[in-house]
Amino acid sequence: MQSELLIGLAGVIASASPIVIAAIGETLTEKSGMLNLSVNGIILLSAMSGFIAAYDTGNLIAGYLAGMLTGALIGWVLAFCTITLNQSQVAVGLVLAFLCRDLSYFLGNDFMGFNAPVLHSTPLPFLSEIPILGSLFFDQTPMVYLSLLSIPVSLVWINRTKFGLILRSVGERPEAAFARGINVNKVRYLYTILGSALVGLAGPIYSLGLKPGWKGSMTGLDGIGWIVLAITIFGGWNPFRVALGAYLFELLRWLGLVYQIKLTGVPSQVLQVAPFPLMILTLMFVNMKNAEWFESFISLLPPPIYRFFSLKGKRRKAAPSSLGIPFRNV
Amino acid sequence: MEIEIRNIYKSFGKVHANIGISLTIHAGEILGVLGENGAGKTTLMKILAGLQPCDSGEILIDGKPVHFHSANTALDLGIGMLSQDPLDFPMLTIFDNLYLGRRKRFFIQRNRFSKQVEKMEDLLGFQFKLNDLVETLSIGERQQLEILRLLVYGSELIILDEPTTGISAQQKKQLFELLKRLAGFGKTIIFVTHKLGEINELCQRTIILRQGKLISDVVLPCESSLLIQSMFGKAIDLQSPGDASQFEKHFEIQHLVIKDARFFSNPVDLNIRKGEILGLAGMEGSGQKTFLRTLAGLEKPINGMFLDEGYSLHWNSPHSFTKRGIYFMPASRMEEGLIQGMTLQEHFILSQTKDDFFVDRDESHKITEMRIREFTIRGFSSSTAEELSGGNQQRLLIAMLHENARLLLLENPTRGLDIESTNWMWKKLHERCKKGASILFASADIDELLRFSNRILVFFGGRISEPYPSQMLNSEKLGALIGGEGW
Ligand SMILES: Nc1ncnc2c1ncn2[C@@H]1O[C@H](COP(=O)(O)OP(=O)(O)O)[C@@H](O)[C@H]1O
Ligand SMILES: [Mg+2]
Repeated sequence: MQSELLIGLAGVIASASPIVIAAIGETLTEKSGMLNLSVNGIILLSAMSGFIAAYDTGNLIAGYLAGMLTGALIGWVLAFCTITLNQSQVAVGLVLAFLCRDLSYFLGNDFMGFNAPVLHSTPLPFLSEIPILGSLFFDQTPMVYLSLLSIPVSLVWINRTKFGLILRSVGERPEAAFARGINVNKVRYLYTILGSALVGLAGPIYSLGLKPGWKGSMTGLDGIGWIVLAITIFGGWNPFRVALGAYLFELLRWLGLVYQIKLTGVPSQVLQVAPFPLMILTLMFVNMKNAEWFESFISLLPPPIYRFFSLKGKRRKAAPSSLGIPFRNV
Repeated sequence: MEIEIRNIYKSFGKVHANIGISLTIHAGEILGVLGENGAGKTTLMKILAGLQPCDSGEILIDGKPVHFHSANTALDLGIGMLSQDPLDFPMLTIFDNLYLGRRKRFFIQRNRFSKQVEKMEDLLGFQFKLNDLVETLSIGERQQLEILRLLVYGSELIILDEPTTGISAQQKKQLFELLKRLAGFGKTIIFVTHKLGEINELCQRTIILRQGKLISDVVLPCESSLLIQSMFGKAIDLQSPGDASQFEKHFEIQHLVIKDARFFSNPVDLNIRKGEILGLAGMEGSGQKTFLRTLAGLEKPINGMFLDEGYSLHWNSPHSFTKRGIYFMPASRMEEGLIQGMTLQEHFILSQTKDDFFVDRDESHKITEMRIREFTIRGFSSSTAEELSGGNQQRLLIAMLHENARLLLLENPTRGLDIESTNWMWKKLHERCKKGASILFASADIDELLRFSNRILVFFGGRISEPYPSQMLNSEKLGALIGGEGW
């Protein structure tokens, strides 16, 4: 019984890995003030391109690289249209989201049902023997390790390095960043491309591992990208919270599957759809921390718990002030 | 460090912001840059700080020509600028804000940099909590923070663009003391302002800019009248419109206290008479706009009553203001006044306060055609607002003011208009006055104010003067008042 639960939770961590990576990618992009709404399309297109690359070469790494390259390319298109050609970030992002989705179905049509290599789990020596933690975190695929690693790395990058400071400044007040000699639009280009490449890595993580193969619109990836966008916002543009959101989402999905078997009276559709509204409710609750009444409510709790929840004096979880606002210098 | 500027030209489209400016700045001096709004002060300073390229001209430091590719090049050469609004990051910590932009190491060097900052803080007598957010500071403290930052980066020349606009008298005193101390350390200071008093108080020398040209270079102290003369140009004495005090009382303002982004005003009491024209003078952003918007019911004052022939108007409903014939015309024609993409006819439909559900196309078409003819707007009832030229947009705005308007609140009604359009505009406005309407208008043009107003209110840094009958003023006196002198 115990091990069943462990296997289930390890599965949650594994299936959340592409969402974690994509949401951190999107967080980096949005921190620079660029809104990339094409995430859903990028995930589908890169799942397809990564699958074909891995199928053609028989090489997994080629598949992952192809996915990232696809993402980077779409990111570049978005940056070019919005920064260089001065078009609306929302409009271009939405068009790309739908264009890439349909493109993936169209281009991938000839490869449906083929078999490409699949990534298997690689238990880490020694670490995987640790009870409980070992089977949760260290008996996974390299891509899961990468997703776990991406959380501290992005946190350190954003908060502890010169480049992270530049990134934040550009998203907060580009005109002030410019006055400090920072090339605002170059930074935005870079992070749009980098963030999209990370989103593009999520595609092949699905098509070469979690949901192996390419089955067109039956692949079941459509919609994940929108969840990634929501998690980025509710996670307050903080990689740690964003990752928590991703794990929460997959946990809810898993519970839905488990209870589908046990609660035969409840229509299965209800349990399949339930994670989405539940997710929104939970995240809304998390965000209530910004509200006054929440602060006064938790002040009744014992100090250590209060301190954990309280946001007083800490940085607010507000959006980058210039998110979605173009920067032009005269 | 000696800096020489040679023959700087800069234009924005048709606007010539800097026309052939040459200047030498000596080490350790406090140089004033004086000029009214739009004179080109900020433009020149941005060029000097590498924030904006010039069209032509040269900058030499210690005799060597330099080229600024970005603000960093200028900062490397020891030139730092404090912008009109502090260009900092409210959402970042004070530490991050100081650190940003100039460090080379990959990881943020917290301890080392904190020590460096503390040393400089000791020298200047500042005390910042480095982990607080910048948004917790006042405007004055944010200025100090910017000065601290520039000094930490080793700036030799510090440019301050209108630094006294948003700060208290106490903070201003501190700032001046600090600047004098810095000059004592051998730093060069350029102090940009439109306030005469400050120049005499702080600077040893000042240049005066007017309409993009360097008009004079004066050693201080010197007579204010001389500075005013250069700042505003020769006064053209025009006949003032005379006394309106025997006109019938119309509107009454009691104890009105308005709130701007930066200040609360003093309480204002004012009678507005039928057919009277009241001018609002002052540098832009001194509260005139808020004053007009408040009287139009678009903003809520802190305190006060607005009586229309004894009837007290409710601050919370702009609609009831228009119903009583009070109309506001904003300065930004395309942003606030007109609606992009809508035709002239649609504008006229919107401006009628009829409560009909359906639009009577035929009637509104007739009205539109009539107004286009009457106001000689060069356009058709089907043209969109942005297709019109600036002057014609202004005509459209005037034409839209309702026939039975009783109080017109006009913000810079003739800005950007050529002489012909300006004269036409005032002809139309005088017609309204003859019909009994009262007019309040804000303007940056001293001559226009003196020529058309019966009385003038002067705005300065949140203070609002008693109304001056315009015969009592001349352009020098009014210029001094606008510059904050003689209050
Ligand atoms: N970025 C810009 N684009 C267009 N016009 C500008 C710009 N900056 C300044 N101007 C114009 O140049 C003139 C000088 O402006 P500025 O240097 O800001 O004056 P000041 O600082 O003396 O008030 C003004 O007429 C202003 O409208
Ligand atoms: Mg200026």
